[in-house]
Amino acid sequence: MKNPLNRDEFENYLEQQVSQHRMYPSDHVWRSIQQDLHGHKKWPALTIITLFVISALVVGTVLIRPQHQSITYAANGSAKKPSENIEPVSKQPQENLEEHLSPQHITQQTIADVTKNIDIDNAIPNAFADYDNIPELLPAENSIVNPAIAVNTTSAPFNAAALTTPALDQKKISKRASTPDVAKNNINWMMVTMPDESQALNGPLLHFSMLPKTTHKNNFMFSLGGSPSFTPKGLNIETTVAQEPGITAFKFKPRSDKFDFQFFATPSISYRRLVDNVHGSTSNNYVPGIPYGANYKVDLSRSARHKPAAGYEAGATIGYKLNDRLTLRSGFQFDMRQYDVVAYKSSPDITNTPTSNNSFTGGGGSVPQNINAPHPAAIAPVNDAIVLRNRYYEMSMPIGVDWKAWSSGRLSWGLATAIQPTYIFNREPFSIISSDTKNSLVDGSKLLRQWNINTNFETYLGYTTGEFRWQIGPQFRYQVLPTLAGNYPIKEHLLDYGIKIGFVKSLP
Amino acid sequence: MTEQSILSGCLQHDPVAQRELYNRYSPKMLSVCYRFAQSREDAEDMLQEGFIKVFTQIHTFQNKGAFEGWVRKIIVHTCINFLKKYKKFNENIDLAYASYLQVKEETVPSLMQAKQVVECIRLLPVGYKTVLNLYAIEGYNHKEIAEMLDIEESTSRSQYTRAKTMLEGILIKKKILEKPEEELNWAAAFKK
Repeated sequence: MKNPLNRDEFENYLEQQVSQHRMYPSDHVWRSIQQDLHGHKKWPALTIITLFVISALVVGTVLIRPQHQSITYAANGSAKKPSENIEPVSKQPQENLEEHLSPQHITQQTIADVTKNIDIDNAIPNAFADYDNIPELLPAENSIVNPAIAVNTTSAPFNAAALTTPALDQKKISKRASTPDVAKNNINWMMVTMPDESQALNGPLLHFSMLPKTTHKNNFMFSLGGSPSFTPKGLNIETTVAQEPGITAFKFKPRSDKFDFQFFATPSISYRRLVDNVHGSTSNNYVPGIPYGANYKVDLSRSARHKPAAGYEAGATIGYKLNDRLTLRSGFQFDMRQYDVVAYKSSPDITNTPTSNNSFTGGGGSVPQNINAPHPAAIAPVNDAIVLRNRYYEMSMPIGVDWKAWSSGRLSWGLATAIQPTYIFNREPFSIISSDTKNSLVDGSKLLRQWNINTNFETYLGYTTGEFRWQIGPQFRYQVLPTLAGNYPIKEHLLDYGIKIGFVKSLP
Repeated sequence: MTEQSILSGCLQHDPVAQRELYNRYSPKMLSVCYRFAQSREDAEDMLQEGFIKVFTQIHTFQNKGAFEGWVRKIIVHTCINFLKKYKKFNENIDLAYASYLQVKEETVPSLMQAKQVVECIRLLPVGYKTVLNLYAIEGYNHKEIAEMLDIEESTSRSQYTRAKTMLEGILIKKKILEKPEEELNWAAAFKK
């Protein structure tokens, strides 16, 4: 700069005049500056769409229930003569089985005719929709059933032999549907037919009768005719709740649905683990003050300071129950994880001309980082600290298992783990340690690996209310592959610790 | 917000602090850019580039000297680079030709004198006004100017002399400045 005393009057006059001059820039100038520094403000479309889809799935699962077939009594066709048209079961009036369906009237031919004409879709009302199907007796859809019937509420011995019909079609049980009308009238019943190889079931045909709900304590019951000791195989009988002459009542175990839906959210804290890949190992023998590259073995996690930051995870999965305890689970989840990098000025002066073009924000200049072991002499003053944030947006598809280790009443405890193919789609500036000897941070967004693998492990405590199992528990998530691709020598692996909160609902 | 809090916020990339800093210094800095630029649009472009560099290099500010001076230095460098980049220095006008530049009355609107002076400076050819701005107003010496503009120091001196003479003529013609007394006395003596 020139000596201010050498200024003449004209120069002083000019300086005085122009120093009073002000001009106010247009608004677009500031907007352009902001866009250049912070990027365009993007509407978080992906986040909102993901949340919308997940919410819609949750609402759809919770609120929309399948319409139950409202059907009335079925299988009355057996009382009709074979030549008569058999009306769809749903149109058939409810009749007193005792009057019309006595074993004496059932003939082999009648049963065969009925078997031909009655469509399973119009078959049985059944309030046992929530109960276990009988695996070997489940029919195919729309298969013809034998609306085997019987009523025997009398004390008369049951003539099981009369009902044994070797010629019976081997078609098995019709599908069941709940009947709001029947349920409303407190009448629940089920019709079961048996294959003609009744010996496989160790007994005669099952029969049913209508029983008022109030007769017995349990809601879902059916009566069996025949020998009191008869216990058909394949029926998942829980208890024998009543025995009356000629009638044996059983209670089925509740059916466990094969599929379930889970929704969860996990607030978490993200960390990172740095590994020097030059020698594949790390050590604490760090020499402060010398260029970074000279420290081949260095505990980077101690040297490169970072602070964890909060993130979150949200998603939904569908589970398939292999058995009562083990469930296979898969779905989608959205993750946001981030951490802060603390950088310091350590050099007395950094030459940064306006034409400099290396920058952690895409502008000019580089951030010098004093990457030293935590030695008092090597740490720069706090007021020179700069905090940079690395943020990741991810979409993952967890594939894993859920094991219910313990359950008692409403409470349960379980463990779960999954492997998660992950897609990373953020494009923000990303600070990485330069691999040269300048100990600086540079923008490494171009080295970001787009696809990665994460694994998670969680344990949870569950509480069942109605159809939902609410669960909460800690989760640990680890990124298997390094964040940066290529030959970048410093490997970063992200770790998340969080609390996973969610619910599970069985799907009908 | 105090200047220290603004600086701390800008180091943290806080948009609020950045906006505050911009609001404080942009009027003066745009004036600086306007004196170098050919048009207001160019001036705003220079200002935008300059402030981006201010925000990205703010960590290099050493707390030695006034922050405004540091910002101004970056802005001036940005203006010079802008002119170089868009080849605004192609004009090569000598004094003889420049003397034919006519300053019409309407080209300098009747505004406050400060603005009038600035507008008169802008009337100068690009090379002249750049050297004039750098030497007379920004306080750089000819050696520094020569390095910045990639010219000889002697060229800088001669350009400044010419620019100063031309500007004085414009200001006098616009009656913003009065003729020096020596000239008046000389004319009067000559008449005698």
